[in-house]
Amino acid sequence: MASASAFTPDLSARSQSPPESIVDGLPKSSPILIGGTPRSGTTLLRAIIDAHPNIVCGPELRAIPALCVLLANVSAASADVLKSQYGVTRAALDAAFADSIIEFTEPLRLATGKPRVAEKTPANVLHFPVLRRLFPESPLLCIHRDPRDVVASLMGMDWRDAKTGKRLPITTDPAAAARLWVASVDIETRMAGDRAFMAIRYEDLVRRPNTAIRGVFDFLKEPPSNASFFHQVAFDPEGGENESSNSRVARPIDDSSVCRWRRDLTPDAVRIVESLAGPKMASLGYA
Amino acid sequence: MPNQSEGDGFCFIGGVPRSGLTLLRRLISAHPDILCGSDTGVAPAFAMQASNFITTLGTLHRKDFGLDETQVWRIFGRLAARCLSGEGLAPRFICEKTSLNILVFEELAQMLPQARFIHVVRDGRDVASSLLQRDWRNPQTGEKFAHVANPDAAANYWKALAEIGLKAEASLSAGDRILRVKYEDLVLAPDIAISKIFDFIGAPPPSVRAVAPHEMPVSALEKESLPLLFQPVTAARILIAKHRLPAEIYEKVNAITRPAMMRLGYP
Repeated sequence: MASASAFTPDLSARSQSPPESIVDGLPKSSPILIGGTPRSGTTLLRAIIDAHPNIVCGPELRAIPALCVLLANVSAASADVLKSQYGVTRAALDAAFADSIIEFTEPLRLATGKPRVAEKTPANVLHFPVLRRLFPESPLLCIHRDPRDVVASLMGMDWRDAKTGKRLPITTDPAAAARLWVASVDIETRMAGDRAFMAIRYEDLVRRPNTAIRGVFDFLKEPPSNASFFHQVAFDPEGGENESSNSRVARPIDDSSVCRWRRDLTPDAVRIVESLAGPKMASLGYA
Repeated sequence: MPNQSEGDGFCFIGGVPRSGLTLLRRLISAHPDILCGSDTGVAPAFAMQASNFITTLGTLHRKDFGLDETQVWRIFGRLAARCLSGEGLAPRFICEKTSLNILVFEELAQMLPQARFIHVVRDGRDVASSLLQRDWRNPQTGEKFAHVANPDAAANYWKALAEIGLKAEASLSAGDRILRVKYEDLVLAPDIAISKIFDFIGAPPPSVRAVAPHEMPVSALEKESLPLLFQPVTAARILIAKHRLPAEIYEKVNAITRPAMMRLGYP
């Protein structure tokens, strides 16, 4: 894996890259997209996938959610004018945005020489329905975790609004954090019939990693690789910016954080989370 | 078709609202090789998103994804160009008119290095007078916007955007990428003004009859200009502010707009 400090993309590699149309049975324009509520194991998942010789999954790009919102805003405000006066259809807008997303991920893929690219930003999950429209063949993968553990972990984060300097509400208000979890899981429900969508459980990944990891690569149609079972060997903890889990993910998988809420959440906070997330929790097997 | 990567053949038109941008659109749409469409808002939206990425994520994108600032500008440039380039239409030149394009001319110039820009200007007093006749309201509060309710605010609105336009002109003048078009020239001598614009865009003088105004589709934002669009081009609205505005208000507006007016070449 290219280390961040030595990263010098060679765009001339474009002329030596795999054939345009198909790589390992999937069009090059089908990036693997990964998301989930923050603090649900998304970084661990991306490290496991990145360790595979055929797939590069860098740190969080943090661009795809904003591009999806931009597409929605442009469509809502201007689709009629763009069609009637410029001849640009909604499908053409989708194709243009899909290509832009590829342009953001392609230099990394080319620099590593791996045939497939994945991108993990937690908020991607909130845009999976749109991303499915943009990328009909892309594997869409998300990870969920007991919302009480998610909230317990979020309450400890020092994440701040870049403009105001104030801590983000999801790191101070259990209700806000629980609502974000519910929103992500609602998307999972919407995606349920999608043949190229998969949701995995954090608890399965850390308690039964071999089985869970095999399941992920089976979904991605890749033969399992030993490297993926030892993600910590290839993982670069310096990658990305403000990636809160890097030091933890640099260590082997362990399940010590499962049910941390019993220790770390106040009873009031537990009540708040359970009242907001209760029905969804039950459907996902979280008692 | 215009080049979607470099921007050759694209021209973005901007300026303070009520400065004659829709009139300009009407006049240059007559050219058979030019598609000049209504306000889409695409350019400001894309330019601001690109700018936001570069400011907040620039280091991340460069270090971990091999994307420097120039590449990010160009990704958004290609995106904007594609969002304006329909299949089935094959104009040689695509112009896009959104008044607030003026806010992002410099960013657009980085997004599409060969694109060109037209800065439409009009006497600030007449613009302020026209703004004060609008019933533009904040959709959340239902209140009229300050710049259409209050003469000082209208004048300062014109002043702020005019200064942004002047800054863009200074930034883009090397390389002849920007043309200032005065409303007054458009209405006093339209043939000369339009010929200069066609030359600037790179379009040869048209050899076919101009499209009549009623054949030009208009957007919702342009409907306020509709009564004017079907009439002959007229110079009757030059210096109209002096007749429309009470003397005291006229003087205030005059004082606020004077410095930028002088920089724009108004006597």
